[in-house]
Amino acid sequence: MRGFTLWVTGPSCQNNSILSRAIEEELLERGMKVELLNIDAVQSCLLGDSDDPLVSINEGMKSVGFIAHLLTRNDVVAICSYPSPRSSSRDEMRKLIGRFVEVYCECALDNLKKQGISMEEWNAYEKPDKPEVICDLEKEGHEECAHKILKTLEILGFIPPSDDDEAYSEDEEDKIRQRLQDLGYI
Amino acid sequence: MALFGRKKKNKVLVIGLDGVPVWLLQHLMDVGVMPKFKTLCEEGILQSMKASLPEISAVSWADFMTGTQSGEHGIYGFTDFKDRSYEITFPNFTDLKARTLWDRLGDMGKRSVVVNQPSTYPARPIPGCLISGFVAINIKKAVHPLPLLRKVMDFGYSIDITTMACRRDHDLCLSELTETLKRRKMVVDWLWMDQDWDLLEVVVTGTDRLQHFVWSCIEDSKHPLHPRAMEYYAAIDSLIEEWVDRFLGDPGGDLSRVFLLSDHGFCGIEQEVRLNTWLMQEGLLSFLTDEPQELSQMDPKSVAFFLDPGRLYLNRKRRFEQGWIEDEDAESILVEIIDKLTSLKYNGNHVIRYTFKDQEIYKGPHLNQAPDLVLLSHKGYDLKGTVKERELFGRSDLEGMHTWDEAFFWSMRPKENDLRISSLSDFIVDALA
Repeated sequence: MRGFTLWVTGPSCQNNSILSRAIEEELLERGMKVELLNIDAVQSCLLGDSDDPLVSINEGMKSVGFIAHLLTRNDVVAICSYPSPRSSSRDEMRKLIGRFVEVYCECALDNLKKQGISMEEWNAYEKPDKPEVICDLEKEGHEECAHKILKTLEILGFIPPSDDDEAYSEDEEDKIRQRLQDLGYI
Repeated sequence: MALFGRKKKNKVLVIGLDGVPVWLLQHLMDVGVMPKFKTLCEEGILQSMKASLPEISAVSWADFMTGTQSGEHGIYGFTDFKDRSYEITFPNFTDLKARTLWDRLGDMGKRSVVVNQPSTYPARPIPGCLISGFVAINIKKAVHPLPLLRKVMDFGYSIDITTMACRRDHDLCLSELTETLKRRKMVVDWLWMDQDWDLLEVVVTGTDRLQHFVWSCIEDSKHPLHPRAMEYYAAIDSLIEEWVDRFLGDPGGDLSRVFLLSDHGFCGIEQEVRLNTWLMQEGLLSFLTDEPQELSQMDPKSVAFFLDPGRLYLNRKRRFEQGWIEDEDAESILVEIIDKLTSLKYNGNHVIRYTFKDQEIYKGPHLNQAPDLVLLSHKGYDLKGTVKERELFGRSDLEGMHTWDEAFFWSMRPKENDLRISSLSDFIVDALA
């Protein structure tokens, strides 16, 4: 299987991290080689040393992007969990890496405030224009978001379909049978 | 995002009205319920068209989208047999063996937006985007690509009405049909502007539901729900007007690239005809239990059996694990059954209009899955494959049934006289070539 980079972005580091870990776990269970590059894991060695936190974050992002690029071309799945506030920087990563899937993790302002994120930080964040997946952990829950991401990866051909991904489950088959009966088709 | 900088390019608009017969359209135009359609018919050509065999949406829409027939695409009905078994399976979009017109357009670099297309569940990637129609039951598996799902759900989109509740409560049926149509329009309008497309196709399936459940309110102008039913068709006409006018205002929109169709016709039910009951009465089918619920409970010594609506299978040795009829004996058995079926009468009237042997209507790599015989009834006799009924003739609360050669097709140019739904995909692809 060829490598790719899953870039999880959004204003909430906490939410990005939760979602990235859920995907990491699922891909590892499917027997894939996966590296999670999240802000906690890399901040000690990769972030820049500028006094301006935004500059520091963006410099660090370039380093993370470069490592993701190396991992991807060596057929490892790189999951990058970053606030990555600048849209243009993420687009640069997409160009550099090629096999790149962007997940935008939404977060309501109220929840951001609860997580201690300021209006200034919120305003500095630029939403992606065309992410492959949009998730909202609060509304959809971890499982639903992870399912959506995995399905997208399957459809895009980055990962093979799950073994248990039958077209119809037993429950669905019962519902289809019922609907066909309701219409007099069977 | 696609609002600005749109280049002029040829586009196609396809609108499907599930189950609407050509004569009903003509009638609705004559009584002033569908004025836009009347205008279209003054400019273009309304033709009758033959649906698939059997005349059901699962097969007819598969014929439409692939430009082939069951022997090529492998879909023979809403149900089929599991391999070498008497057990039933429900074929789905992944079982479709032929390429769709959207795939063909994709080869030409064209993108399609397809909304509520029956027989495309679960949704799979097409060049463009797809929202599956009937028998889709879970919206999360009915949308491709998945990033569209959230927005579709935000519109309160529902694939279908609540079928059993609406079958029982016709007021509710009309309310749900109206609401479903409104939400469907919202999603189509959004995709129209949001997506960069070459073909936009939408199917209205509420017509089929209304006609199954309350056919009488369409035919009988004194029926208490008649005015609401007419309002529903008028709402569809307004919707056609809005979409066609918008299409003509789009760069690349031209009336010669607008197509409207139905997938089969419709009529009222006089009697349901339980064909497996007939086989039981003729001594050709028996069960291992007194109150059979499904075909898998059949005595393997049985000669033949039906799947809905009128697909007859001989119990062939080469086809079924416990089958016993050798191929060389099949023809004489089939001739005998055809002879008896064509004599079947209700109140002195013949029930069966045509019988088609498999090779008369199907060809291709999946011919070996075909039923040995497909029946078409005279109007009013609704063929059923149930094994639960003991009476050959009877009625349920369903009021309408499908017909074969009364589907419609509208376009600007007349097509061949003996028009079949499987011919349409070539016209559409050609319009974008």
